[in-house]
Amino acid sequence: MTFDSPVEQCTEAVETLRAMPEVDLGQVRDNKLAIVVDTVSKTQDRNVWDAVQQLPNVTDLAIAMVAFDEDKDENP
Amino acid sequence: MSQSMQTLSHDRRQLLKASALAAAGSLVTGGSLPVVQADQAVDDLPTGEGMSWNKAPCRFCGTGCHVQVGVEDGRVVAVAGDKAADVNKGLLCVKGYHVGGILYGKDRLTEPLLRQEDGSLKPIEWDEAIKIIAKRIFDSPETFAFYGSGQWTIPEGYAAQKFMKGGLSNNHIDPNARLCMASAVTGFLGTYGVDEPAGCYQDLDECDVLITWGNNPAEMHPVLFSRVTDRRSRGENVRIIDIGTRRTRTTDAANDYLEMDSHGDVPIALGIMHLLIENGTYDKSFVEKHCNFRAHPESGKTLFGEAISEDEFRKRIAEYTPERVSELSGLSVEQIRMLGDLFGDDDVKITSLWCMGMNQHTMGTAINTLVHGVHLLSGHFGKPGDSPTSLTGQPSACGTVREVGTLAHALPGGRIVANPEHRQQCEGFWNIPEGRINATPGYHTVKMFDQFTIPTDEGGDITTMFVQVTNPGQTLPNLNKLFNDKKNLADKFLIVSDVYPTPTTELADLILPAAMWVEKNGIYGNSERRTQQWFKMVDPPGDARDDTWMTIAIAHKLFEMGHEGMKDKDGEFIFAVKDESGEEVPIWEFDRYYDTNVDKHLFEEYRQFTTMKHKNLAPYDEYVKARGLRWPVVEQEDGSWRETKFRFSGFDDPFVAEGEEFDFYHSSTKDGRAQIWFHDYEPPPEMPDDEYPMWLCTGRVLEHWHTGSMTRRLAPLNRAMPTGYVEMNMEDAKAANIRQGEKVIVESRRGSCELPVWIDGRGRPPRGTIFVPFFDETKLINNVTLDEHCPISKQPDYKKCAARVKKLSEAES
Ligand code: SF4
Repeated sequence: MTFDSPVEQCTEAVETLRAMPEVDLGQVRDNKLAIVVDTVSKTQDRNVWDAVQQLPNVTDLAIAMVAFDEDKDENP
Repeated sequence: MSQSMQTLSHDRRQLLKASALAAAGSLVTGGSLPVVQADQAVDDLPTGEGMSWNKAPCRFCGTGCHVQVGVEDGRVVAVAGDKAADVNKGLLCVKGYHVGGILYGKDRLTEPLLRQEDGSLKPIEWDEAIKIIAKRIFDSPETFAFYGSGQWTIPEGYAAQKFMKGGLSNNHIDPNARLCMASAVTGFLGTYGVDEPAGCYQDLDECDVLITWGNNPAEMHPVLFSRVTDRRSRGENVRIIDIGTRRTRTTDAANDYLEMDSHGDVPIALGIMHLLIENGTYDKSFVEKHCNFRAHPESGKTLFGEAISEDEFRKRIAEYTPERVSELSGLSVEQIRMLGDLFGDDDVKITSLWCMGMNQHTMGTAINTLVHGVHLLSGHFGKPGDSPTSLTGQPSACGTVREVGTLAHALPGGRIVANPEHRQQCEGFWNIPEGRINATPGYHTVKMFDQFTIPTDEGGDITTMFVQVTNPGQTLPNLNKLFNDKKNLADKFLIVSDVYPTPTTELADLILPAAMWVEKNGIYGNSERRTQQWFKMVDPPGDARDDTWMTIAIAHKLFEMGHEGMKDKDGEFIFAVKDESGEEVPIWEFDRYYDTNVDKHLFEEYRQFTTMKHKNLAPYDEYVKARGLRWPVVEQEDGSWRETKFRFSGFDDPFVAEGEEFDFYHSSTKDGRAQIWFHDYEPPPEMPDDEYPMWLCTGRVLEHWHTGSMTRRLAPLNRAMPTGYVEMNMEDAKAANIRQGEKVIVESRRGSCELPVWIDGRGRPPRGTIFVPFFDETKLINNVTLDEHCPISKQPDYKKCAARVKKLSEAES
């Protein structure tokens, strides 16, 4: 995740992320934060994705990896 | 979820989460790259009930990673990085990790579709489709053109090549690699007299310094680039020097970032050579023994140019002082001197890496030969880690385009149509009558589409075009002129075989549903001369069929219609395949196509062509056993087959005589020497001015492969990078009162494109420049780009043209 300011200044977004059971937080550097999202269904996955994207200060989400064997039905 | 899938379940999920966290973490810290370690060794892959695994190269970039493909119930259900593969040692990038999913987009094309007069598409039978195509070709064989790609498998490209040049006596066949790496080909030919890199990926494991010349391997060849960055995590010292026109993820990993002006690479290379001569730090012994000097004659530019003396070379290169180079390139005098000193230092091993940035250039052949020249002049050549190494964007750009020679002027195995001896050899291998192969080169890509979109009565002499495995409606430059103009030409007929609807199928008159990747047998040749084979693992959906089959079926229909070209000297079908009892297998009937391995037949026939230019290949069955082999592959006394890592170097190349250190055995000067070229700097064909004040550069992103026609069908990748955008410099945006995310119009003299603005995003262009990736078919930036091309390679320059950015509101008013 890329924020528009250093991650430590984006407390509201980080707190919301921390409260989300599907999300694990990883390394931080400047305005970037590594997260992992683990969901059990396509719908839940989409909800989390939308919610994360709409958090304050978020400017970009870049995917580093996705588990393929779970998402075979996900293609549009 | 099945039993076998459950075996992947809990532990695997935790492992995957840990891998994902590591991959995401490495992206964040910039220390490494978004690549993922396979979590199982090949032997440990879960098999369960009905689950089977088989090897295949990744469908995407020219790195050529190997994956293990898990198939259950006739469906690809899992993909793992292949630890037994030397290229990627189990690693995959995010695209490779998803490669299986590209088969299952909901809008796969599943039946042939014929455009009706009212513009709608009507499903038709394959028989009818093949008949329609054969009739158009039969009626006017010389106005037919075949357009393919570096995604063609080797047998697909070979079949298309034989059909056109050996069957129709028609050389209008060209691939999209003309848009991607044609200048690399001419660069190799002009320098070594033979195409393809001398080094291999091992150079990346052994270099002390890696120079990226206007390319961004961190995003475009991530697994390959991770071989370098991973060395750092093992405590090794590798210096990365990024020479580029904008900051990228490669810059993040670089020790030095040298920001050049557009077109600046040419003066930089000339400046380095100037300093090597001026400082006396060039490799005198290497140059004396193994090199000649060369330049274009006054009469005009040619591929092989003319010999010049070393004195003449010195005189010409003397003009490129660091001060002048600084003015032309935008680098500081100190930065140029630093590069000169670096190449003058014998104690470091330097590898240069490049891809489309250097190739998509109006001086594409020139800059390619100049970078080879820098390495030759300095003697940083031919030792592991010391090498000029060109990368390919497509999985089989080397194998199918360059080796098989699916270019308008070429024949298989490094032969050319203009050479009577080459034509004769080819006719011999194909058992076709002497004189069948046409001596005049066909149309290169830009010319081919130009002729197709010019009305017939105005001289547009291509009337039927068959496009396989590529998407020119998105990738051609200056799309309005070279593609969209086809729309109103009733007598032009476009046939497109593809797996999904694309901007190309939008204008197609006949759409053919194609099988893809592991839905068919295949062989690719990657960037490091590695030939990789795979078998069909699942059935294609609906009525989708193999591209090779389509070519053979059309050829056979023409044969039935009595087209003489489809017969060999003995009157037999040119693609005839016999079984063990000598009976012909009707491979033109799709339900009999897999009665035999057509790929193997075509490959074994093609193998005959590979010895002339020492691109020797092993028998098909050797590739079945291996995770690819780098040619030349030569049989040993014990009957085994040995691949070659470093060409022209005595320590590894079997064709260099014993005791010789180097031999450029295909030298254009026939003296075993490579050519060091001089080229004068020429300004770009279009420069920013008052009306169009910005430089526009186009390119790619990590998540999507080229036009996104496959990767945009994958929900996770699409969500990660859902739309095309324009990268702008903060100051430029401020000056134009443009905000982050705001929609703007990017326009040039040729067309326009609407895009959201991304400021200080993944790439950071300097003031006065913008960057737009081309993957998004809803935002066709190629309406804006220029079709000016290198005069020798004919490759267009997508990397620089004059453009302007307007706020949407202002554009509307
Ligand atoms: S896209 Fe390229 S780097 Fe990524 S896995 Fe496929 S071959 Fe490897």
